[in-house]
Amino acid sequence: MKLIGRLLQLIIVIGIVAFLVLKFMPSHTTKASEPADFAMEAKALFQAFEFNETQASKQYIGKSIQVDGFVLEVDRDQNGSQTLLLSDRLDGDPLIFATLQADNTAQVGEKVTVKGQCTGMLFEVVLNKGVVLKD
Amino acid sequence: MLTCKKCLGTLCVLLFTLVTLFSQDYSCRTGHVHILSSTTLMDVDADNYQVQSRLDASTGEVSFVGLSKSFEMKSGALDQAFNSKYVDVSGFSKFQYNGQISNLDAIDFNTPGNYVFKVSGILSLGDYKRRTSTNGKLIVNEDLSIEATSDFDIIIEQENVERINRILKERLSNYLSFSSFGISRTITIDVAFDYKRK
Repeated sequence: MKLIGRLLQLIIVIGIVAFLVLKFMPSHTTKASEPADFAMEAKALFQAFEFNETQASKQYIGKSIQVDGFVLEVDRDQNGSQTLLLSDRLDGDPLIFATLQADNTAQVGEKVTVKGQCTGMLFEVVLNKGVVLKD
Repeated sequence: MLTCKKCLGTLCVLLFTLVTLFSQDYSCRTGHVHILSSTTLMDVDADNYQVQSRLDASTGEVSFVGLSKSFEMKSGALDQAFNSKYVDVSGFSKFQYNGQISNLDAIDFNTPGNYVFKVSGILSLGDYKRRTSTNGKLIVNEDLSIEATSDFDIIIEQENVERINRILKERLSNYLSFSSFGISRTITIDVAFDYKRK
């Protein structure tokens, strides 16, 4: 009887801990201080997907990637998060679309380094939860 | 001969200009898709703000495409698990919708106002395809940009629910150990797009 009581208490405690973890664990974020899995120019990343999307998806999706590129456009998504469109040249085609975790002062025409989680390719290679790294 | 070539060149330029001026292509890079699947244990409640879409106002063709890994889960624990670099989404990395507005005549894309549209199409995720039909709201703004919203329920066959839950357990089992985690038969999908004319 004592054992059953103890087991019941343990189950309840585990249940409460599981509930608290599910309820209050923070979402996944990109940390500027942590090294990226890959670092490359915007064009190299775009070309990797363009050349072989299946292979590039396996290699890069879900990974933290740091890309360098020129800002073509600064906009906001429907959640209010700032988005950046990057290219390899000031007059180049869009190559990278990045959504930032927090607002940045990056301007159109500026060369920036953005680190974020690669989620795949649509019109451009997409980075989510991005941070703009300062030199 | 030279005069003919000149005429042909001028005609080509004129045609190109006319097509560009009267083009009714719209695009959006920051569309929003929200999905909700309720189970007895927990809700799978996720948002994707990186959905790209195209709308051809002259033909009524509408499409959107998004990436599975761009979904952000409302539950922090699920989000951490799903966004782990080790969770493999190959085979399901993209979802896509290709549809057709059936009441195009009822919408004037050059006149600001609120319109109701009817759309039918096919939603795809990996090799899973589902034909859907639904209504939506379309707002033509003063600057002739467009906002479109719609929602639909997908009811998944039981064998596909079991298949999807099996895949989820295989790919997420290192991070989640609830035996009853999974999706329900009904998934509610809300979409919203802010289009700009190309």
